[in-house]
Amino acid sequence: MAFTTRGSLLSAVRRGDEVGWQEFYDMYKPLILLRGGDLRLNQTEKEDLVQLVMLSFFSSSRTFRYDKSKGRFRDYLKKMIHNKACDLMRRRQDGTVSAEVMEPVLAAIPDEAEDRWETEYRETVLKQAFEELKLRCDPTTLQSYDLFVRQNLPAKEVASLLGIKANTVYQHKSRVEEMLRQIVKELDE
Amino acid sequence: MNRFPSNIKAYRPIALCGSGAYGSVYLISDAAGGRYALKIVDKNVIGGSWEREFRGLKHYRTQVSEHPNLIKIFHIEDCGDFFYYTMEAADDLAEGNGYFPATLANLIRKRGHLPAENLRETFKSLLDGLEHLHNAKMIHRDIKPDNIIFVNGVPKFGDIGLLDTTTHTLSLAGTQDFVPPEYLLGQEKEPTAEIDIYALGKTLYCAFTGNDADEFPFVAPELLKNPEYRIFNRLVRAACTPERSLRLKSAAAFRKALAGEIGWGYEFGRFLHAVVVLPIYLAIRLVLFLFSRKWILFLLIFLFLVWCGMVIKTYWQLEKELYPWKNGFHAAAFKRALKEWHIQTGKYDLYDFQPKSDFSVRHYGERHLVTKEVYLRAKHPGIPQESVGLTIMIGFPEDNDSIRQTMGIKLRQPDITQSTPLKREYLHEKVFDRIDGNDLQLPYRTEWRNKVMLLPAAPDGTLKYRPELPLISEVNLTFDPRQINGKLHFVLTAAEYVPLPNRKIPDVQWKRQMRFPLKISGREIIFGDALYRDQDKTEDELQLLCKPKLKKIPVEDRFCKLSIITADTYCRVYLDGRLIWGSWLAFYGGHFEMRCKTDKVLKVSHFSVYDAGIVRPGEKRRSRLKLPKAPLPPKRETNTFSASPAVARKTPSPELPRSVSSRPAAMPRPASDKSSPAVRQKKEVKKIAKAVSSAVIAPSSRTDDAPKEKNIPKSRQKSSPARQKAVKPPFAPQKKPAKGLPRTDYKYVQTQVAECIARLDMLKEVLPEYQAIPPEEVVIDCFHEHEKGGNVYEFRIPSRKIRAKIRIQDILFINYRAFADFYVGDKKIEL
Repeated sequence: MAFTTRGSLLSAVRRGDEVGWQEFYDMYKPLILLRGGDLRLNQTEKEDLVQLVMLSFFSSSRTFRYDKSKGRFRDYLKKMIHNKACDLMRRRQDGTVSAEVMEPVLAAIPDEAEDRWETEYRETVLKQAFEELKLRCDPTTLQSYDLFVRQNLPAKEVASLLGIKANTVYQHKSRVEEMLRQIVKELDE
Repeated sequence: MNRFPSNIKAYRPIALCGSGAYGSVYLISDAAGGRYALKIVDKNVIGGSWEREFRGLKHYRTQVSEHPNLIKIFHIEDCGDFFYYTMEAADDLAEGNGYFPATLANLIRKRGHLPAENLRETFKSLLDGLEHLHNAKMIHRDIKPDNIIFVNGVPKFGDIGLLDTTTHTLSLAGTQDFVPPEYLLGQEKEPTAEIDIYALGKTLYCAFTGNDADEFPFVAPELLKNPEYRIFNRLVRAACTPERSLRLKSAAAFRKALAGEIGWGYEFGRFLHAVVVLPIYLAIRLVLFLFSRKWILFLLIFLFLVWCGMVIKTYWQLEKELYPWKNGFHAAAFKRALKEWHIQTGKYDLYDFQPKSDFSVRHYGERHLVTKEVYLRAKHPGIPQESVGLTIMIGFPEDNDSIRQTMGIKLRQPDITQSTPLKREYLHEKVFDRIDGNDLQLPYRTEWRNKVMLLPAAPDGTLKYRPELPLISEVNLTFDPRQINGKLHFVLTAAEYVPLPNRKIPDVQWKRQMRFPLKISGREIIFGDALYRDQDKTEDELQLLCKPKLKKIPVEDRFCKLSIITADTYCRVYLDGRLIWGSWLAFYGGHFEMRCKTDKVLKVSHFSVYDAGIVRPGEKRRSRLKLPKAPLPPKRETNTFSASPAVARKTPSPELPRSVSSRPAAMPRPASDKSSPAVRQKKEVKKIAKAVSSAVIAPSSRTDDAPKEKNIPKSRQKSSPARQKAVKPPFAPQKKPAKGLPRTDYKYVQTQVAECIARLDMLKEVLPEYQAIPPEEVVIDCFHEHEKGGNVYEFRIPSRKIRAKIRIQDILFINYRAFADFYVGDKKIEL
């Protein structure tokens, strides 16, 4: 059995590997809650939505394997959330709501909500990519990138702290950015 | 299983310390009041592997439990659905409120990042324990801050529940960040000791940063300002890098890194990774990329095959052109040629013969020769670097198309052998002996040379040696540069010539020439570029032969000796043993000429020509050239000739014979002379010398001609016949003169002795009244050849009561002088 970590979850999903419940839950619960709010579900329904979506992924076991033939995972996830939201709405109206009634609800989702979903998903992907980066990248390179870019220290100081040359700091920066770009592209496919 | 089992009656639970996937840990006390930790493991949770875990515990207890940095296990018991074991309990960090076990994780939670000094000692102790564990072929597999406890302040590895060496199951609950990535990704499944090192590195990261393990490798910048933490940071980076080959692999390496020394293995690994692993990785990526786009791959393979085909075709063509004798027809022809020249064909294979040029066609009148030049390359030991050039006359076809038909049928000797029998003999002796290895190292040896000519003085400004020089010749010329302020040209003109159809008169003007110009000022001698004029060219069509090896040398207070050596395939010019010009142009025989453009009197004190051909040691030299011996010059103007026509007119000198055939008709051989031709010739020469001396000396004996002697050196004045009766010539031997030593050599040795003595500082100490010795005072008694080369001259200086021997040897580059048996009076002086 291969174990997914927070860092390798998305790539594992993309590869079609088995992923664990807990990691999946932690990662995608905020996204599902966000989408539930956009669909005008109340708090209880949003919690139920999370449970329904998770159950649909992990219906048979504690692990989940993604079938690539279903398309991009983000679209698949989005579609799954919509379906489960519709189920919740139907249950709210005693199953009398038809598909025609649901269409205005979905059409009424504002564009800002779509943008928010995209942004949130992108942040999730970026977070995943950074975790993935930790598994691929040399710690010195990452530290150098962190101190230089995120902590905003001068290259010379970073170099003296890590015992490397100042030029290397710039090289590390470009290397990390290139790797991040590549990982994000892979995850977003 | 959060409830304490009722069937454990020997212990009383005090507190639940924690519970995990495999069971719970309690703080208990026994009947005596001792505090212990008790861990209960549920067999149902572990599943079928509980027996292995149980076996591992027993092994741990018996083998390694006594180590101070490993937690001690006191009791293990199997209770059906579960088993439990008791062990040392961690110190209590709670200050009276319950039990707060002293684990590293709790310390971090309580204090944040830990001080460097404590950490270093703590991890040193932990490394001891880990090393002991690994030496017992066991691995911990679950090292993390929570599993490092302090018992009485001593750090120990706790939670040894996963100890095993065979299980393939890894604990993941809460420890993912302490497992190497290759195990997380499923690339590796067999656990090794390296995972403990990795986990310990992560533990150290948590301890010195206060961060969680999932924040690795980020460190707060202010922490890195502490040099101790920088060492920890470097260690953690080395221990927890994702690249497995670069990681620290043993507790010993970890300990070294903890002391601030990242081992050379780590550094070398990084270097290897950069140099080898990364290129291979990139190459694999490239190959995968190409395989993903197969048309690019096929295109590259196609281009590679085309390139290979072109290379093979080119090589095949070159092979065919460069080595035509690989064809059996040519090989047979060449072997036949070698046989004619008595070359042992077994010693060289045909591939040693490289063509210098392709077939060349030379037109000689109406017919033309097709020649093929080949070179013996310096491939075999013994063959000189500069190869011997051979020319094979392949045939005499009328056009190029018939070359192949006549090739190999009409083989001839090299054309150079067809000029004179003498040259053919030379070639057979010289060239082919070299090929056969008889004389490989030094084609020219001074001790084998044979003097063939001493040139007398010449009255005009040009010195021309008209008789043909020997094939391998050495021309020596000694002159006084102090007397010259102008230009000198030494010209060698080739003896051979090719009678071209358009040339009616084979004149010397149309022969090949080598010119060596030099300019003499009062202070230095400046050498110009040696020039070459090919045959049938005019004076304006000179080519550069070679540059001088020395640009200029200062004029010294003595005579200069210029040597021009044309031997084998080179021509070299030396001045006082120093190589001035060197050329690899073949120049056999010829004439020598010196042209002087100066207003003053040019003094040539010595001129000699040697036939420098091969004379084997012990073999009697047989002079090949029937050259006349030069008459002894008159005493007064013996070694002096004037470069100025004006001076020459004032001091008329008779026409000196240049050869026997050019003997003046005014001096017929007496009919009554019945002696041998040699004796007769000697007498004739003496007569000529007498006539010359009387013609020159007569005016000087007159008193009104005294001013004309002003230009004559004092030593010469002393040696004038007018004073010969009254004053003995100082250079004349007082006892037995050196027999067989020519007068010019006699004077040369005198000069050399005087110069060498002048350099003897030791002599100045012995003789306080020492003054410079004039060369004329040196008396040479006798001389003989030295066994190692050169001559040994016995000399004395009566005025200083000095007698000694001097060995003089002039080798090409070195003028060797050495004294022996040096006496001043009766006292022998060690020099």
